[in-house]
Amino acid sequence: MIKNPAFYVNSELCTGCKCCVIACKDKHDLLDGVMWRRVIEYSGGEWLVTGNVFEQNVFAYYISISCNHCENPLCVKGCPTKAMQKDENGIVWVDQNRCVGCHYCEWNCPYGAPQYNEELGRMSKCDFCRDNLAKDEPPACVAACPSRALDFGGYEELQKKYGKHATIAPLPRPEMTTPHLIVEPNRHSKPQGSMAGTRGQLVSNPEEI
Amino acid sequence: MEGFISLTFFTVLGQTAAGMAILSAVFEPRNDQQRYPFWVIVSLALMVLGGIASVTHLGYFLHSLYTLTNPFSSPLSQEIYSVGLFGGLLFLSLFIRGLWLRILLALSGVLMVYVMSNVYTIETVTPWNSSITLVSFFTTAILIGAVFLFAVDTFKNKGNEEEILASLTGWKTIVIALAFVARIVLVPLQVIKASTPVNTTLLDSQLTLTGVAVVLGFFLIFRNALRELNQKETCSVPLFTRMVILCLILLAGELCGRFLFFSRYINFGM
Amino acid sequence: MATKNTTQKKMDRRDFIKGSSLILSSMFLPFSIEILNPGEAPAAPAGGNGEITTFWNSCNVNCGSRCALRVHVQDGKIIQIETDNTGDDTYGLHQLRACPRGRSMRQRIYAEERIPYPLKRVGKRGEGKFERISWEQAYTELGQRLKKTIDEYGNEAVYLNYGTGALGSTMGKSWPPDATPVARLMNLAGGYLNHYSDYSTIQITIGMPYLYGGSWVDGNSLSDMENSKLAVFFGNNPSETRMSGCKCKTLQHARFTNNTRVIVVDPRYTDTIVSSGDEWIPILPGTDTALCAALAYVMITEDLVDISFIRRYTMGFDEESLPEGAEPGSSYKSYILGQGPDKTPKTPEWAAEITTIPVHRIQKLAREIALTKPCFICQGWGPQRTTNGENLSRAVGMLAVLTGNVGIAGGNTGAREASGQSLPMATFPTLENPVKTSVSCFNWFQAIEDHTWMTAETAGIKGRDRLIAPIKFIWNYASNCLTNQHGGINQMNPILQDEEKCETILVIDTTLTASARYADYLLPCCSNLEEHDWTADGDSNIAYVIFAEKCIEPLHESRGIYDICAGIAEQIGLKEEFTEGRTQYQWMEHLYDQSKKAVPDLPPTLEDAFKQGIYKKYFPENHIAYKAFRDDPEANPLDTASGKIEIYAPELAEYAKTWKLDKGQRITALPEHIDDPEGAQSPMQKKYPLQMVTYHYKQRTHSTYGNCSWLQEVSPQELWINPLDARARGIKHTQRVKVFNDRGVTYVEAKVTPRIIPGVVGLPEGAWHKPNKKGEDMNGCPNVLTRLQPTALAKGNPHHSTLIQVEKA
Repeated sequence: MIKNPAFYVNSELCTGCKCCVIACKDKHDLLDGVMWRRVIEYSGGEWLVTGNVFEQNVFAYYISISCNHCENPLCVKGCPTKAMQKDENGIVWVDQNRCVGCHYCEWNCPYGAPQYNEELGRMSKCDFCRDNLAKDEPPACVAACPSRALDFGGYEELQKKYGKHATIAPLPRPEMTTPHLIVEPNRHSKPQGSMAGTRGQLVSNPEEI
Repeated sequence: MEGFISLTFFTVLGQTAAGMAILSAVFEPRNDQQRYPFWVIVSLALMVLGGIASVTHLGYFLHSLYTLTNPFSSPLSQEIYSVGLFGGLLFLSLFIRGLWLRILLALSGVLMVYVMSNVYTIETVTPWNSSITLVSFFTTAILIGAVFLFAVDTFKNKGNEEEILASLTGWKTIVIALAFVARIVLVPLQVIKASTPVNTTLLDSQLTLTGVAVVLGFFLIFRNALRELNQKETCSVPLFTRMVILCLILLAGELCGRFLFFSRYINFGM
Repeated sequence: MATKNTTQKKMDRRDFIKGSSLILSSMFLPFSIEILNPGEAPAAPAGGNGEITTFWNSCNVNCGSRCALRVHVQDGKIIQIETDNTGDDTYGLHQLRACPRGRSMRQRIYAEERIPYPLKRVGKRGEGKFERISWEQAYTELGQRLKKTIDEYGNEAVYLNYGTGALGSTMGKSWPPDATPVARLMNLAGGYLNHYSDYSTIQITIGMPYLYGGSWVDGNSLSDMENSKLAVFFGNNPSETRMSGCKCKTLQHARFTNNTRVIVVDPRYTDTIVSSGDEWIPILPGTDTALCAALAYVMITEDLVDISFIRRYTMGFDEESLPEGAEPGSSYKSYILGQGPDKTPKTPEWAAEITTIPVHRIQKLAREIALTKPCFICQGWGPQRTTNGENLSRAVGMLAVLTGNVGIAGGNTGAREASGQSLPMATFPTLENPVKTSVSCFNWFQAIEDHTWMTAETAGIKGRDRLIAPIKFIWNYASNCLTNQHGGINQMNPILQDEEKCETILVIDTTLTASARYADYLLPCCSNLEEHDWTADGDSNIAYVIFAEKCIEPLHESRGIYDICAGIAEQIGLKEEFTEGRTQYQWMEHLYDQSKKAVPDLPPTLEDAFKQGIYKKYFPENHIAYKAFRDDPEANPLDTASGKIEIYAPELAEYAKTWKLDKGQRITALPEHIDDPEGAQSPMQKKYPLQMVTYHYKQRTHSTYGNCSWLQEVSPQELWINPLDARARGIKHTQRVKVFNDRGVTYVEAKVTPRIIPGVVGLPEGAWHKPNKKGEDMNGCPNVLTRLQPTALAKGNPHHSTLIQVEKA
């Protein structure tokens, strides 16, 4: 079993197709409105119109985010019932036998990973497809990606394989939770904290996540 | 809305109960002749109502006892303990008299309001993440705490208009006025703090309208009562009714304001 | 594996009884169907906790590719869909990973909109009242109607409508018409009226061969881009129109092997630009013709054209190379330099006003294209889907011609990249159509109202000089092109509803669609996961066959199209001839034996093939279009009159004189820019100032998958609108807006984004038409706004040339 499994996302290759989101929904039978993985769009830029002639500096890119199984998970820290916990392999998961559905983990997570399940009345989230990992198989999202933009592995091995990269907008400051996530920037990526997007610091496609 | 309505009632009613205890201890610490003091009953009723509201916020309350298992890490778990402590002491105050209990109760009230504000002051929700939240919660406690203590007096003096008028010159009115001024100052500060590129216009206007309505209502009724005090005019609506309406307006204002505060919730780029 | 039942939203049929009839409705349906005598419908298996079996199958829709599905079935119910996980994903034998649409197959199979049993219309056509009938009754009555139509009006009154819902199937293939089981039946019965080309490509398919000859213009394979120093995509958007894991990997291979620079000219900042484009040049839709003319102007005036290539391989570039009979001044060079009849030099200044592209960018682009060799010039199929798309397609091709990039590695013809390699698997023999007549895939509807005016010169009729019969019987198999995917929905409504005109509309589909509203007979066919079949496809360097094993029993009373055709064949006395005594499976065994002769290392038996699932072959060579012609043009002439690339097309000069066109329409021998009456700078823009493009969207494949909630969640139907246009109308992101013109109204949420050029809005095609009581569409279906006027030359659909206005709803 991998220790401290982490995701690698290549924002240069990602075309925002959301196959990863659907594969996860299908495998885990997720309800409408529950997304354990979300594809965010960050786009911006402006147009200069002079008569009939236009100039522009538009940019756009996507990042696919599920749970980063952070080193310092604020969801675990804030959970009143200890339902949200980090297991011995580093996977952050929610114990349905303890959760009260108070949403506090959802408020604390800067990435929107915990998702409320209406039918259960409890929170749910990506568990790195633990059952697949136990069989030495990749998580559903990684295996699904038609653009091969996702990879996974132990966080340290992944860092050696892909190197470290600066965090890009619109992701939150990594100091908050120390996410085990490596995002390879798109050539148009903006630095963390940028206000260049259509909604400032916020994602450009809130209706899709 | 994720149960923001239930949280609104829980926090406002709970803070009111705490405010009543704090103000009682500060201004009338030795006023403990009665058994089952009326204000304690009212305060307990508020805690019970608030408690029910908080449980409706949970998706699966059958696991509620587990919320006691993480007090060293989770502000929410700490909140449960502080609510339990305050509620327990409040319940004891029904039967046991004594200055020490009053002071302990007041301190546990302060602790409870502080821990409540801690729950929401988290980095991931920018509109909530400042000391304005703490000050605002205490303002609610003091403002509506005083309002309810005032209402308790008014009910006790029902039928006795002079007593009601006399109580208007008491400490409660001054506290209400000062806390109200604090509330008016805080509103624009909260609007600025909570500014995000989205949804501000609607919420800003709601906040402004609520504030205006509250101020107007307060002003009208209070002014009316003061004029009566100075025997300049009489009003057809009984004083008792007007005082009760005044209290309800202030409570409604706080509830609306709190709801709008929670509605500022924004996380991860939404 | 976690239990599958508890957290899943119920996907059972949402029926309820109204009196003694059954109302079939759902949130996606445009209308409710009332079935008067439902009885018991055989229910879908509820599943259970037994053993899980895994099958290989495929997704067969019209997406431009073909993917493998690994289907997990438990107690007769599909519980999960996965995809190709074989091998190590090396390019050339890489994994055929399904895109988000194929991954939503479960929702499509178990959708509430599945047709449960054969239905026959009662009441008026379009009312939505049906009665349940038996298959026997359906076969009998349809056999009778077919016979009656043929007896009264002849075989040319029977039309096979365009339908690509089952494009990938072999035994169940739905298009081209002459590859379908329906065609086999009709060919045995005397033939049918055919259609040429398709809604995707008709302008380029008809128009561009006037430049290069033949019936389809070839292109280099996309992988050949690895040999290019520069690639320029005119409206080509593989990341949204070729979303399969197979083709995504090819695009990456093409782009990243040598880090080829890619410039994309498109009205939208597409997902292709996100991951594969180095630069975006925004352009107004349909004005690429003007841009290409200006690029040519710069190349000609700055001496950047490959003049030796032009002399040897082309005709019509300058006055000296014009053919006999051509008017003086009608050469391409004269047109570009303003020495032709229009006296307008096609300068960058002239083009900037039409396209919005700044002068300096046009100049630099011309030099980049001309001086960077080899250069891969290609176009997608969006630019040609405009009023004058035929000329546009040739204009883009001219860039490859002027720079000598045709027929070399790393070059291209300017057409779309080649569709890919294929294995010579046997196909279901559909025999030959005795009828040679065809209408275009788009103007068929005109033959319902009045066929008498439709001739070769007035309506592009092929195979005969005029139509000899009206359309009286329509086979609409796996097709939503009666309305939803056709155009002018409100204008089509009275045409289709008239029972005197077209007498029989037979709709065969898995799913209730907007087109099904017009059915006289509505027959359920099963999906490809409910029968055995195989599908063959490929890309630049790979070809494969996916053997699709039957995963579950056909839902309710649905049947395969082969069996349906056999049933009708029996009624008209053609059963033996149609089936040759074989069941569908026996046909497959027969075809498999034949395939093994052509592809010897296929698995030994068909059963083995189903178990293996996928057979792949690597083709290391990139395809270079017209290489033989380039190597030796005298020995390998093109299929044109002169044998060369015909920049001036004499046939078109002829048509310009003889064809009867609508006002404002023109056919020109050269790839000239023609003002678009419903496009950029049209006078109509005073009333409807925004041009709408109806691009292809990742939520669906056309209208297939349009009823899957997962896809709707992650990719909701939205109108893309630029912030400048939105602000002027007080529209905010995700606000509901009204989109309208004289033809219709639709309501949809707005996506305010700088990723689309000002003056243009984008409303993806394929959304299910959902009219309210006033006839206004509530679901963002753009075809209530498009027009039914076929284009001048190809008689095709000009849907990106649609002008509209947008308001807050």
